[in-house]
Amino acid sequence: MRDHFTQEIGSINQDMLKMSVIIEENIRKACKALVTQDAKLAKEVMSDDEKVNELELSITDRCVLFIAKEQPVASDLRHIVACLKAVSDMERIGDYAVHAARRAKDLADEKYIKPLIDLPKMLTLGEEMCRDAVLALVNGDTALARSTAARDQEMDSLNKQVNRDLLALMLDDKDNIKQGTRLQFLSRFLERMGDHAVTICSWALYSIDGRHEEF
Amino acid sequence: MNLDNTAGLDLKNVNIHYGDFHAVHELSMDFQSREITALIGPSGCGKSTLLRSLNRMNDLIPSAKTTGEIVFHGKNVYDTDVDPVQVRRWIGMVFQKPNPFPKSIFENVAWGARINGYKGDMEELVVTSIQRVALWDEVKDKLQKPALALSGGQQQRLCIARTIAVQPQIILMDEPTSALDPISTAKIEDLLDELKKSYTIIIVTHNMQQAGRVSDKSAFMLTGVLEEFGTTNEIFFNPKNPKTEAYISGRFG
Repeated sequence: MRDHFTQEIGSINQDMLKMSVIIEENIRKACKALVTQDAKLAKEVMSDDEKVNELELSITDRCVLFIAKEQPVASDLRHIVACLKAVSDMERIGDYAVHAARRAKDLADEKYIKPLIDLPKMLTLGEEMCRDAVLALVNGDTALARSTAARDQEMDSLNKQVNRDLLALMLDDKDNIKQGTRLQFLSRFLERMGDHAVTICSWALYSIDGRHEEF
Repeated sequence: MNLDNTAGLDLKNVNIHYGDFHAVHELSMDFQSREITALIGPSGCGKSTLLRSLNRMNDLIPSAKTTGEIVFHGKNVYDTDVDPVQVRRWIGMVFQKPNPFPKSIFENVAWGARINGYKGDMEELVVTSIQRVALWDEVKDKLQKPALALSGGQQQRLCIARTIAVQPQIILMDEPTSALDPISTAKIEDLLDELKKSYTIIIVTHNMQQAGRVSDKSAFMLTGVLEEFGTTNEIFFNPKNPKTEAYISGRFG
């Protein structure tokens, strides 16, 4: 029954997964560009973000058209609304990957004031959280939504650790302040990446049972 | 019976049979006063049978047998001392296809009240009833013209005017817009919203979007069983029963 209806929901889900894959790839590239100080790779991330922005608009249009033409109800309606909301959070996560790439490009010719250990960890964590949050939404997986949201504590701890380390280096030598501040901003952006993944998890739970749950 | 206030209906263990066929099973629910309740479900699920049992229209079918209680103002409408004709005056009905009499517009509205011995100002009753269904501007200059000359949507509003002229407390509607175009449908839906202020309305509809738009509560029936009954918000946003969800989303039925 309603083959087109079911196909269209499946197709919107596929686009959500496609957008997630591009964002994950961009986060990986931004991480590599940061660690290897590869300005060319960093530029690639900025240009690939266009695909993310285009997908955000196209998914939004498809969801709106689906509501207008198919009038979904109950779990179908909640799922489409959840996709509409989550796609904005995904786009923001994509933007944070661009922020990281931009920072990598800016610092490509500078010697880092400390080896980058926790910032790449944050990027990898952000990539995994984004992937799992979108999978939880698309597959209606409550357990994955909850476990992914719980990983934000790990992200917050890493952010605090990065800030403590950078603050110590800046207090130790004022020449570290310029780069230290930039890296602190980057850490803050990556922490926000985790927050957006948590919001996607909340929308996944809303899609599943219609309740708003705060993490 | 004290009929001062618009009442609801309280159904207790209602079973309806057509001969050996058990059409409605042990159905208990209540229709609240001044609310619109939509009865939804696939064809043959028993919703029209149930609707027709509420004002004893099924009495006209020889093989039909209703047991259980349908309580209106504290009295079971199937009690032996209750007059079914009187029940149909309290609980009016609007059918799927507009069915005006081959008489004038005025006479169509006046007819029910007249045979019920209405003693008041008939002209005022007819005008008020036609105004209440938002038909006045369209027919005020042709009240003596044949009702059958009106469009389908106008005829259906005239039939609703005819129903309310008898001053019922509950109005039953059996797919009242299924034969109408979208504009006429919208007018009837607007009218339902207005009528709800004075009447309890129970509507059978196959149009899920209409049920969502117009009703306060929805009841989903399947093979004669009441599967789920709740606020329309609950039924359309987060139904408890997977069968309800499958039906309202068009995945079966």
